Parts: sequence; C-alpha cells; structure tokens
Amino acid sequence: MRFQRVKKWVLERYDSEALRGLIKKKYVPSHKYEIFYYMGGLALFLFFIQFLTGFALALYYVPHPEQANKYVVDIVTKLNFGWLFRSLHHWGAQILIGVLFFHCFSTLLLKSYRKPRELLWITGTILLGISIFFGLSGYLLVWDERAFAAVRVATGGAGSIPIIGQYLKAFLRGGNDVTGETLARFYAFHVSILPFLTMILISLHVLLVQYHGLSVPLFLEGEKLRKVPFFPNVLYKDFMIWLFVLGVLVTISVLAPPEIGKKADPYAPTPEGIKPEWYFYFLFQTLKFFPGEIFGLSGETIAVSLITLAAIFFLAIPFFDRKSSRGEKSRTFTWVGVCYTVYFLVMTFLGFVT
Amino acid sequence: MIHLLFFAIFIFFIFSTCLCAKDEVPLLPERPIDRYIIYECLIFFWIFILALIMVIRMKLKETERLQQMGFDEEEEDVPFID
Repeated sequence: MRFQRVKKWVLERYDSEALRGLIKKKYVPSHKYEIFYYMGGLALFLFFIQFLTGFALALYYVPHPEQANKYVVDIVTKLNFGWLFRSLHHWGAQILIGVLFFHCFSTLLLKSYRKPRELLWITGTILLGISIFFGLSGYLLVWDERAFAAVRVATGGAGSIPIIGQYLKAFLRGGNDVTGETLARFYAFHVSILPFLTMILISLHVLLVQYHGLSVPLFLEGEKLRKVPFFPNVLYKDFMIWLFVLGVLVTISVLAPPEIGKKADPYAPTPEGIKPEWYFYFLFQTLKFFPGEIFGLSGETIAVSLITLAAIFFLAIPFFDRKSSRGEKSRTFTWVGVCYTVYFLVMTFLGFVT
Repeated sequence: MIHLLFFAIFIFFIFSTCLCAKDEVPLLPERPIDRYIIYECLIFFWIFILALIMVIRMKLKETERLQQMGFDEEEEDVPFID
C-alpha cells in the first residue's frame, strides 16, 4: 500500500513513460565482435568498486608524512576487513586500468572513433589518462620507500617536458622535491579533484554513447545485423561479466594482498630494483632506450617530448583519419593502431622481464 | 566429501603461504583459523557467483525464447482497462 502511494507520488511528478520509451527503444547491434561492447560497462562497474572501497579507506587515512604509512598499516592490521578493502582498491585499480587500455586499443583498432564519435574518443582517452594519474597519486598515499622513489622518478620525468615541464613538476610536487606537500597534493588529487573530473567525463561519455548508439566495425557497416534490446538482454550479459570479474578481483585480493614497505625517508638512498606500476612500464622502457645525451641535448627531454607528441597524436587520431570518417577503408590508420598496440604490449612485456 | 575438498584447499593455501617470505606487515589475519575462514568464505563466494551467473543465464535464455516467439512485442490499439 505504502509502495503504491510512493509510486503514485513519483508518477504524478515525473513522466516515467518517456523513460520507459527510451529504454524500450535502445537496441544494440549483434555480431561476432560484440564482446568489445562490454568493456565500457565493465570499466564503469570497476569505477564504482573503486569509489566504494575508496570511500571506506578515506574514512581512516591521514595524509601526513609522519602518520600516513602508520595509518595504512593500521587499516590493514587493526580494522575489520581493512586488509580486504585496501586489497580490493589496489587490485581493482590494476584491473580497471587494464580494462581501460583494452577498451581504448579495441576502439582504436575497430576505428570506432570515426565520425560522429570523435568526442567519445577524446573523453575516453582523457579518462584513461586520469585513471593512470589516479594510480600514481594513490600509489604515493602508502608513503613507503617504493612509492616515494617511483613518484620522484615520475614527477622528475614530467619535469623534462619542454617549456611547461619545470612548472608542472613544481606544481605536482608542491616544491622542489617530493615532500609532505606532495603527499597533501596527491591526496587532494586522489580523493577530490580526479573523482570530480572522472564523474563529469564518465557522465559525458555515457551520455554520448546513448546519443550516438554503439558503433559497428567499419567492415560490417552496410551488412544487415541483428539488433538485440539492451534491456534486458545486454544488461543480463553485463551482469554475468561483472559477477565473474568481481569473483576474480576478490580472489586476487585475498590471495595476493599488496605489500606495504617501510615508511618513506627522503634522505635514504633509493632502494635497488625499484620499478613503477605495470601501466608505466611502456614509458619507463622508452626512457631506458634513450642515451643520456643526443647531439648535446638531454636524452630524457627528447624521449619525453616524443612521448608527449605521440600522446597528442593519439588523442587527435579521429581528426587525422579522414578515410574512416567517410566510411572508407583506411590502411594507414589500421597500421597506426597496430603500432600503438604492439608498442605498448612489447614495452610492457619488456618492463616485466627486465 | 565437501569437507575433504575444503581441507585440501586449506592445506594448499597454508603451504603456499608458508613458502612465501614472511611480510614485515601482516597483510592478512595471521591466525590459521582466520585464514581458513577467509579461504572457505572465498569458496562459498565463488559458488554463490557461479549460481547467480547460471540463474541470469537461464533468465536470458528464457527472455530470448519469448522474444523469438514475439511475446515481448506490445500489440497496438489494445483496449485500455482500468
């Protein structure tokens, strides 16, 4: 009875028929590459898990250089299920970034960025960049030796970007070196600025997907494809994938909880064998290939400049690939997509084994 | 039988954990009984997930069957009875 009254109250104020009509009209093309359609939904689900576990961790964390490491240890050792929440947050981030890379490269190779979905590509690529920065900022919050050294290297690398590099480095660090100021800044980025940007970009990205509908691969365009209703068919498949990934996430979190190193000491020498997180390996390896000096110029500056140019080109690919926008085959940009994907995979693999 | 399976998995986890170097900070509850409970819960969690996936799959198949039969399509000009 009470439910009926609530329903009546809502229906008197809001036009639910319009929403129902919108849901009924939503169809998804069905073909052999449709598995790629589920990556966006999976990323959304993982973002949701990150937000939830992040809320729980933020209740007990203190971003102070003297106490940060101690509080992380306390979360893991003293709080009920603190270890599980931290582990879920850590591994959720790893899987999320992996899914985002997969989603991004599949979009690139299937040329789903083509007209009229340029803005979808741009919002998605920026979201990937933000997620990587989420990873870096969250990494420092543990405030252990490894995180300290990794952030010192990463922010030092940002300092090699021509013209804006030094300003960017000072902005990220909040000074000349990685200190408590950096921790405070990274905490602000991690729990406030980046979530705010992420919410805006996810909303925009999802709205654009609703507006344009899902893209069909170029080589399947023109073929008569079966269309499947989103509600409930595709949503059921989404649920199954989410449940399976949740199971994998919980299993990894239980079997391989992330370690906590010794509290960071700014005056201690950098520990040996320091490596960044896996999603930085391709950058890390690229930097390693460049010598210290090339024609009197800093090798690091040249490497960072080339990486920056490659990233800008990557973002602007939909505007360069005119053939795909016209619905024609574009062999050049197929090779561009393959090169980016193979480069990322090979460099990440080398980062693991070296 | 199921208890034997749980015990075998428990032994596997305990031994595999013992092979690893001891962490400075205990990343999981240290008491063996607590670990046993965690691993047992993990197994039940997977059983729950697989069961739920099977239920959703069955529901999806049924929905597809009804759609093929055309039962989901709304008839036009149906008299409205209130």
